[in-house]
Amino acid sequence: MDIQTIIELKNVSFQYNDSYEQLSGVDLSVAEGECVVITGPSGSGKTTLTRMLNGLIPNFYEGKLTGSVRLKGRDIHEIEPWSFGRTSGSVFQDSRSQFFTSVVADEIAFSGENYGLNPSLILERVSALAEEFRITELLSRGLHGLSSGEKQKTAFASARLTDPELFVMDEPSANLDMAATRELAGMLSALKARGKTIVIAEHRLYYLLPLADRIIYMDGGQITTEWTRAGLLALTSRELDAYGLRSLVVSEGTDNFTVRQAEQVRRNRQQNPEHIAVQHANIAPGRFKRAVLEDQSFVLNRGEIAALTGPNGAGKTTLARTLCGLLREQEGVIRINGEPCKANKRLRKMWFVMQDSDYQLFSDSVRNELLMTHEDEPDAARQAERLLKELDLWEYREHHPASLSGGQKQRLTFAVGLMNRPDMIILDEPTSGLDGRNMRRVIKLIREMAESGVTVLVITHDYELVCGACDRLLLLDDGKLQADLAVNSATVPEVIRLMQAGK
Amino acid sequence: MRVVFDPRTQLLVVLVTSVAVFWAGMDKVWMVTLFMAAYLLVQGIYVPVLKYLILAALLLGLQELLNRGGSGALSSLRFLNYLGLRFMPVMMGAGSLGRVPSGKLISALATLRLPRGLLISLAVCFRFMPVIRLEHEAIQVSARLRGVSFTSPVNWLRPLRTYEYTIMPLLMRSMKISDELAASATVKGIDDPGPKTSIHRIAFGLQDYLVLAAYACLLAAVF
Repeated sequence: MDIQTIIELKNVSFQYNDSYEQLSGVDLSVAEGECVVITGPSGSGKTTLTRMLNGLIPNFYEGKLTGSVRLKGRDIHEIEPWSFGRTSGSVFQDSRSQFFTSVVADEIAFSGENYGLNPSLILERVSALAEEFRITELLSRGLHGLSSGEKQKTAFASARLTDPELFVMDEPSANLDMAATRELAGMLSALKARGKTIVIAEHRLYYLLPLADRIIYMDGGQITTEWTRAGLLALTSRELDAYGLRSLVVSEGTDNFTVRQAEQVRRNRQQNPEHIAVQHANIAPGRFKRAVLEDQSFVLNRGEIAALTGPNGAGKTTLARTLCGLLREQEGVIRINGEPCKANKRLRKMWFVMQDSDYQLFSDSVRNELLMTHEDEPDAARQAERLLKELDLWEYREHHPASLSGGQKQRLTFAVGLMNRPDMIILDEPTSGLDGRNMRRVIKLIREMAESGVTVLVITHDYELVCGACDRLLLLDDGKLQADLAVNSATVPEVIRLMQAGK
Repeated sequence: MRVVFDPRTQLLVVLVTSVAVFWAGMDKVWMVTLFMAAYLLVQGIYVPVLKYLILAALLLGLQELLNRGGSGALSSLRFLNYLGLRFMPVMMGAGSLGRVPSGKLISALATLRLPRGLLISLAVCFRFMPVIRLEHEAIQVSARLRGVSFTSPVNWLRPLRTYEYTIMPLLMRSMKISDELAASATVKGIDDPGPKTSIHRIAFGLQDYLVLAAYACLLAAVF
């Protein structure tokens, strides 16, 4: 039996109508049953490439497309816009906006209903898929209340309903913890075992490496390099760094590159004076809600970088929101520099960087964003200039925040927080969708903030960030602080074990 | 036990109620309110019913008070109070309709032979309402961090600016999300011009006939 080509791109270039991002001169052919990983820095055109395979280009996102794109031998211009979903199933990154319905079963059934399949056949498929993904008891649940791992399983099941031959995914692991990522790898290898073709754009390579037949590296809208699994593994850590890639294997122990790098600059911050102290606190998501953490105490030293991790619903976000004063502690005391500090006071001393920067930017230009609420301070303009220069944003000072790239927006929210000269900065998943280069940049920034005396708490599932930046790991589970250990080359295996365990 | 009504029954109840509350005499609106409370209770909706009934009692008390006072300055307050009492049954009915999963609601509406364009826009609206609420909450959290939230009284002195900081991020986020939502519906074939099917079986059952008959009797008593 011949192996057939399912995807064929010849000299493809694309430019969005309203954007600079583009592809230029891309040639790619993928055989049936292959698993191809596309990686490369943010903005390199990975997402654009995947959009040609599920018909979003040219039907949904308009722009100038040249060259030829053929799916199963047919030019994509000849395929009816609505029938792409029968050939290619899609899974995206953001679980909030990739679902069109509100209930798990409806979402899995959605494409079948659109293509007018027989309802009893759809129901049969839905329950078979639910069983395979072990989400049968979730079928009648609302999508909104699911964990990110459960959401991604639903998205996967939904993509499989019409049993397409090709699967196209755009950073499906971005919002998952390590346990859910491992399950994702399992779902992918099940697909591969069925002979399906998989094209997946991703920054996290470690979970894909066992599956990938080829790894394609894109930069500036072009495919610049292509590796086999062995070829990629042969790269030295310096070369990976130069390509801006994340690590390829979850390496435990002293051969871990990021850890070794971190060791060189890691100071013994345990010696620093006590800064933030939580004493016998009960933490709840609302004044009359049940506490998610009871009678917990811990101390963060000045300039310490602590990672906060744990499964969904363990109370990470609630703890973070309480620390920065958005919620009141039900019981106990939170001290800053030894002084008890109530929630409304903490609001001015802490800063919270959300995962999605869009929520935190209000103003009409980068500079005004920093000056906002500091209008009366004579020193504000100079302080803003210094921060913008430090964070490489000075040349964009007149730009609208919405026009910045993801990484720039994130740095801007750092700057906004630093304007208040906070005692502590809390970061929520700062590296979830970042490529290796931007991740290392965030690590450097976090270290610099800590050097300047700001205490940093990072909510994260990203072991590379923990190993590369953090002094300490706090693990929350079952309403308790389950583990509190220093991160150094001796404890890395334990850190990774804890982060992989999940629930 | 929870009774599940056909979405069309629920829609009919809302429509009839919104007409009935205007035609019923003010002294009889309470009957409609009580019926709606029972209608929600059989569907297993308890806590909101309690809240509605407490609110209704408060409004009735306030109305008594205002009627006795009789001063002209309070007439606008009296009018608001009056509207609240009249609209409460409609809100209760809409509350129960709002709990129907959007997929089921859309397939029920499809049986009414509404045009597909309208159905798709309705589906998008239903999907979008909870999103807007969540987005608004997230934005308000960061507005509080920045000290520009309308929840802190200092900002009431700058209403325009506070309004801008409430609405602008919401608009930006909504534009982005609606784009992504539309993209995810597109890759799943929502544009397919052929006939669509639904996994929800939409049919009138005994409970639907019973509740509609009971409502008809009650309205006959009211008028």
